[in-house]
Amino acid sequence: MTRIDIPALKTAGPRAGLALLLGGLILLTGCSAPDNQAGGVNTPGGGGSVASAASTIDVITQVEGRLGEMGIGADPGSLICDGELAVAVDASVGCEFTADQQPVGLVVSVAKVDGGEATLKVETEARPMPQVILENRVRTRVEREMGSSVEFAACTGDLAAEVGASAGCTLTAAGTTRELEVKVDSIDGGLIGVSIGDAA
Amino acid sequence: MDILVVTSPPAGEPLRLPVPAGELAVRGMVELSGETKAGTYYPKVKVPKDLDGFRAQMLAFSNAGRRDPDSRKTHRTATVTDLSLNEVITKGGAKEKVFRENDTPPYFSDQKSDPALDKMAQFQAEYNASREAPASPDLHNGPARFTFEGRTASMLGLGERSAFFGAPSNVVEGAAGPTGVGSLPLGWMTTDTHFRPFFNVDGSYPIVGYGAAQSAKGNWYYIFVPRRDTELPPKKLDEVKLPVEVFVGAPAPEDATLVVEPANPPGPTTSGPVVTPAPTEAPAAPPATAPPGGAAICDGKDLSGACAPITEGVADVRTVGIANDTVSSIRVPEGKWLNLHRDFGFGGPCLSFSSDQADLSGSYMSGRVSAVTIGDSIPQGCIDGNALRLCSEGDFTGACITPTEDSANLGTTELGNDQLTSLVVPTGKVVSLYKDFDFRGECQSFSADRAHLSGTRIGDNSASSFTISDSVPADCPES
Repeated sequence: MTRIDIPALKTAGPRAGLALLLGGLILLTGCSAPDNQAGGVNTPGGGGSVASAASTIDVITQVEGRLGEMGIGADPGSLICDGELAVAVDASVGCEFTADQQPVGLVVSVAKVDGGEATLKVETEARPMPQVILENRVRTRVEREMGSSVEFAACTGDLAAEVGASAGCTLTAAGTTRELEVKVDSIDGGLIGVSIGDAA
Repeated sequence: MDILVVTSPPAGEPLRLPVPAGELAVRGMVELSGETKAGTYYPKVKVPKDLDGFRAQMLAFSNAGRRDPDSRKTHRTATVTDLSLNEVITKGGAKEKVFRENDTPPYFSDQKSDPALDKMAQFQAEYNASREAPASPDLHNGPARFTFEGRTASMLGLGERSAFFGAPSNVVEGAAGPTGVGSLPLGWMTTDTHFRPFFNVDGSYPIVGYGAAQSAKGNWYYIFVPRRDTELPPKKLDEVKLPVEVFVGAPAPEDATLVVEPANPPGPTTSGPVVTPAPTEAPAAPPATAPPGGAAICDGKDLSGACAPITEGVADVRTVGIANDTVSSIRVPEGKWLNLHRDFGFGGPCLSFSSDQADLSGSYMSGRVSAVTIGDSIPQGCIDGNALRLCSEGDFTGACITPTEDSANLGTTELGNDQLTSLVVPTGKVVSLYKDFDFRGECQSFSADRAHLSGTRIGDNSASSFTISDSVPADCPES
């Protein structure tokens, strides 16, 4: 597992002071931080402990920059979440991002809380391919095979994120029209594998 | 009378002869194969620790062969032993052109390595080593699915691998293995099938990529991927072999756990909906708007959305944080040309712009840009994307004219009557095409580029006259 370094807790600069102050506020006001958040937080740098940190995790800030290291290619700045994630085991939050414009669901849940660290579980979920994305993918994929342009690409609608789901597409290039069927062959998390073949 | 002069070194001194470049290269490969490291794409296989050095030796070997006019003859190959000919007879009896670059030896310039081609070659070499592939045509098949640095794609075919690594599209591939060290590229150069790229038979091959990997059993696998400079004719839509596969979205993460420190300031309470505060630090993403000055591409109109500065060629826009096929506006500094390419690796049609384009929706490149270059002039292979251009073939190719005013009779131009197939329409302008001379007959207006007129109301090869104006004429609608 990889760990995120939080500069605010590692340095003695103004931000560290702010973190300490805010942590103190949690304790003073009796804010609804889980019990296991009370007490010290071990800093990654081994610099001892400070007062308790936060009661929520900003998933966008904490997770988006690390999707790449998990093998998830998200379009920069595309992650949105329903809210923050409570620092409590089994708490979860739903998010969505795009990968080359295709929407992908992301569920982030808290698997473990240990001192100042939370272990998150990250899962991707397939989302339907919007018609416009489908048309673009089919067009560009066939263009690459042809080495020239497809003038017109129209599909019958969105492609459901289910194995076996299909959509019809019509392509036109240089006066030739070809009717295609796009079919979902596989789903792996948020990854949809589709085959583009001739319509029956 | 011929006089033969025989000389010998002074007594006691060894005879010193230069070692041929090819032999030196083989020695280099053997030496460099002694130290290995984990593969980049398949860490369980080994690759030379100095992989670039190893590739350089492979390139040195092949270039030594290119310089030698008798290379094929020396190795007693069955075909193509005389490269001084304009045409050679290849296996099967076909005549093929030799693309010599010089009339006297060396006939061919040295090939140069290409980083993107190196990557795609290395990938396939490692893939073959990872599965201990037997020697067969299967060496050219990649995995149906591959994830690397957050991107997943089918790598089955050469075109798919080329697109994934942002390499040029017009490439061929040679594969070898399982074998030992130093047997390639010689093995390719002396066959009757794979020799063409080394000796410019059937096309020029100026750039090349090499890959080398060793399997767990100790076998070596090699790949070379040269780019053919002579364009292959495009296929027709009904010639495309289907099915093909596409992967969209993002896979399940390999390691689904992440350890974080919930260090952001807490909200007032954790119950009920929580409004996400603005992050205290900018995420690692391109700026939301175009950076000041300099060339830039953006995925939103008016230089909005995700933007990336362009200071040099970008073979794959995804590498600068812009999703593929999303560029919607561009900024171009004065005196520069920004060249938008349809395909990764600077392939496909290319339109060049010398001024800002706040909205590319009227351009053929809208929703198509995969690669970008910048320079002081329009490079070869690109055309001015903001100048009227009428062409006899699709994708703005064939016989083209760049008129500056209306024409009542296209038959008087170099394009010819009833020859128009594609057109570039300058931003903010409307081109009205008429089926008859003197702006008569059926008419259709275009405010956006058309890479092919088939399927339009005016049709392909039908225009006889045209006008260019600032708005759609009342008697000549767009649809």
